[in-house]
Amino acid sequence: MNCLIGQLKAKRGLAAALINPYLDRICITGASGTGKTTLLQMVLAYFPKEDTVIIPSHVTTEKLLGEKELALFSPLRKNSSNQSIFHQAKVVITDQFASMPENNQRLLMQLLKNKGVSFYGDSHYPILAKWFYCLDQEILDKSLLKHAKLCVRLLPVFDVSERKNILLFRENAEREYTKGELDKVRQRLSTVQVSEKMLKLAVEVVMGSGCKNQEADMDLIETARALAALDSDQSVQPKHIEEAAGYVLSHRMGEQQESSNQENSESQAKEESSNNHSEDTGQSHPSSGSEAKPSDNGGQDHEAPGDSFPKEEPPDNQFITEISEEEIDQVITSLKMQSDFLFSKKYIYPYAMNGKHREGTSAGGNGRMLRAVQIPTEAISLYHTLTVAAPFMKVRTPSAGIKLAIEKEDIRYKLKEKQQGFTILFLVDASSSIAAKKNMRVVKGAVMELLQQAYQKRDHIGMVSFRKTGAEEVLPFTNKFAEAKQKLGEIPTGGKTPLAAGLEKALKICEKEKRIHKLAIPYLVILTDGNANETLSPGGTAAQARSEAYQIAKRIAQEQLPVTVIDTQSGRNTFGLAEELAAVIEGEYLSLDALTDKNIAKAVQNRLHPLEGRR
Amino acid sequence: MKNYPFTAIVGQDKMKKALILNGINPKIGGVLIQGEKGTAKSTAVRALADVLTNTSVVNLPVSATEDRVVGTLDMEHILKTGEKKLEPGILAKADKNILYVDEVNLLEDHLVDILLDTAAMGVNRIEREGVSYEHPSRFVLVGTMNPEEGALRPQLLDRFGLCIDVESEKNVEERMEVIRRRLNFEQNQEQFEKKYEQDQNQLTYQIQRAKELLPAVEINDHLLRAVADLSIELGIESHRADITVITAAQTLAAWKQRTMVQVEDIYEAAELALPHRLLQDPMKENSSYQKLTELLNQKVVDNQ
Repeated sequence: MNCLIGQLKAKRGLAAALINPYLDRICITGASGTGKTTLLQMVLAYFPKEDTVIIPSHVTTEKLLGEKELALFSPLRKNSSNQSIFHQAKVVITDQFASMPENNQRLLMQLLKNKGVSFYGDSHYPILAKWFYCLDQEILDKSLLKHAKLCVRLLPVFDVSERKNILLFRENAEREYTKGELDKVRQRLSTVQVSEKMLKLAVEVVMGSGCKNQEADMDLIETARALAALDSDQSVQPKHIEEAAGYVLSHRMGEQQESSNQENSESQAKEESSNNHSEDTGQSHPSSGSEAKPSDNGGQDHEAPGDSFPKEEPPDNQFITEISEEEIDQVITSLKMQSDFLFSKKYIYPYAMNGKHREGTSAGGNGRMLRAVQIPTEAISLYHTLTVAAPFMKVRTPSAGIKLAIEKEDIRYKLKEKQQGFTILFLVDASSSIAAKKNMRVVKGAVMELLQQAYQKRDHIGMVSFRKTGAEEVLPFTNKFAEAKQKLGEIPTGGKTPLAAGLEKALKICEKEKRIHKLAIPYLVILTDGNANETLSPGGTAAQARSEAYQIAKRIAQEQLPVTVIDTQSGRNTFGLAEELAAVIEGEYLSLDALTDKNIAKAVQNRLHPLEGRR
Repeated sequence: MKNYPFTAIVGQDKMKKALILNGINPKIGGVLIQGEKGTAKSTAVRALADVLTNTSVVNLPVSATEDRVVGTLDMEHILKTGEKKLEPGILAKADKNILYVDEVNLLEDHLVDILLDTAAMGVNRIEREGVSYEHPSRFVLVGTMNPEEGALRPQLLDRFGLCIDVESEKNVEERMEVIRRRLNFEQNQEQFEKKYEQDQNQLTYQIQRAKELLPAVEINDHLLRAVADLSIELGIESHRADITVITAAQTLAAWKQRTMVQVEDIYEAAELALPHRLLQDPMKENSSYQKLTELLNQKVVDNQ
């Protein structure tokens, strides 16, 4: 664990998890590039290779459940034919947990949590693995955090010299927990006592934090014990409880809604623990490790980090927890908004939206396999073909040179879901007829939000605005965050509403995009009040403008582009013009009243990646 | 790895009662346990099998494949011998056992359909890939869910005989006891098991006695009327509700070593069997559940 500089807190958390077998689900979180994967690799180094299982995000459900291997494919490995990949695994690692399909996330979690599942045949064995998974701090679905018993947070390093060290990659810069040391600590663990007072404190801290999960009690105590063992303490001290709370509780606190309440009780708990501190200061103050037991290893453990990183000692820790509480507040509010919106939406367009879109996305080629079909696509599924042909093997005679008799009607193809290559074009009404300023902020926010997700999902985003006499391509299709942000900065507003010009420009861009990338499906998001009052060649009447706009809208409908019209008109005085436009263009209609920028992003993403968004 | 003993679970009496009743009489139709994470739901279900004789818990993962659940052709056998043979699925294993679905509200739709079909008939009928086969699949369906993560489909909800809500313990002392026991368990499982051996044996014996007594339990018309009245008063349409209340009341009587159902058995059973069948008014939360409790309390007072 010595190639990662700094991050003492995270390392202590991981060490605690490694020595206590009870702590078996660990989440590593942090902003991208803070070393989550590096940390995982360190964890891997503690275990022999045959004990570890690394699960890629594209793992199939069959593989997780334990694939039945045909004798046909592996005649020699008959006995191992129905073992799942978890068989005898001691560590399970999922680096990109967030990008796994939701059903597999759930399956994996249940397999690991319920410790044993019946696989094929009669093989039923418990899974006794520790599970480490990584999550980016920016993930939308914070509930993924709650699967973990322990959550370790990586923080960006802002200290110059430390950063330099990272760049220099000085491997022997410090020695921390080696395997041998951890083994010794693990032996110490069973002797660590928990006093009644500490039990009580732990329960009160959990209850006070507002975490409703009673399991946290146990996790907190076990983590505190492991930390005490790390410090070579004979019994759990209040400081250990306090430190453990950072790992065990912070990621679960989102479960409570009233944040103020939670802060109060949290500070209460802290007061309490500090009181307890002062009661036995003499014992626990300077280096409790060496005083409690003259064990040199333990002393080293405690002192080495203390010497090299005085800045990361307790006061800093407290600062960190406070920050995370604020974060959690934000998460709660945004999550709540998102979920409200999601639920209301899901039932309005349950199948029509997903189905129509998925058809387009399952064009074959690259992607995740949904199921085997008889209709030819680009890829043949050998497994399913053999499955279909298998029952007829005895009655058919295979042609010369071929062992198996497979007929044309047996052939099955892979139906796949396309995961990448979406292009989203925003068509934004920047005329004065809408309350431009406020709405522009929402629109810009939404585009920003989508760009951030484009990083994850490889969507491309473009933007066209229309005002005064014509339309302008503000942002050509891109997934470069910085460039887009700059261009977005100042979109001029005001003037008449040349809706027809805007639609025409959007249509042209979409057609072009379709020509360039055969599989890209341009998805058009129109933000307007629908109140067209400028014709293609300036000077026409409002009525002309509207009929022109509808003509182009019909052409867009013919192109069968997926479209969402977001009505920017606020509640009181809608004329229903945007709704009319949505009807002509055969798109989906949404009202801005129900939307914030995050929600627009969510709505768009939901439509593009229906399988991920569904719950 | 050993299971935590059933008798060592602190509190959660209602959940334990519902599970035991199903253990005595599988005809009750399973139990749905609703509640937050970390309330010993899974632990209790897994521990139940230990106090029942010849029963095991079969796990149904929410995202399992259809093949795995229903059963499918045994490829290897076909390729080797040319004969069709069924590879039994989870439903075959669940026969006469407990079928446990964690997070049942998140169970994928195609699996819900299969489950509904099988639970209704007690038979798993396989009609796919050139196989026509059926085998009995009578199981005690035990589901756990956290209602915050989404609702359960009404058809499946009605399929559960009993429904209980569990909450995390609010008493500090009790919670400390939970940790204490768990710590002891983790420290030395054999020793811990020995400590509870007597309790476990006694519970096993009690359940066995109740099973033997059950066929002899009688219920009179007066009580049947009380059940019907209760359902009408609460506006419950499902007749399965009435039947479940009566079955559960009979089982309760057997559990209490009686051969006559008494009025309090009915109300105790109704408390477990009716909550999820009440028509929920979405505007007012908990109103009908409160109504049920009030009504039940009223009835108990009337009868005393």
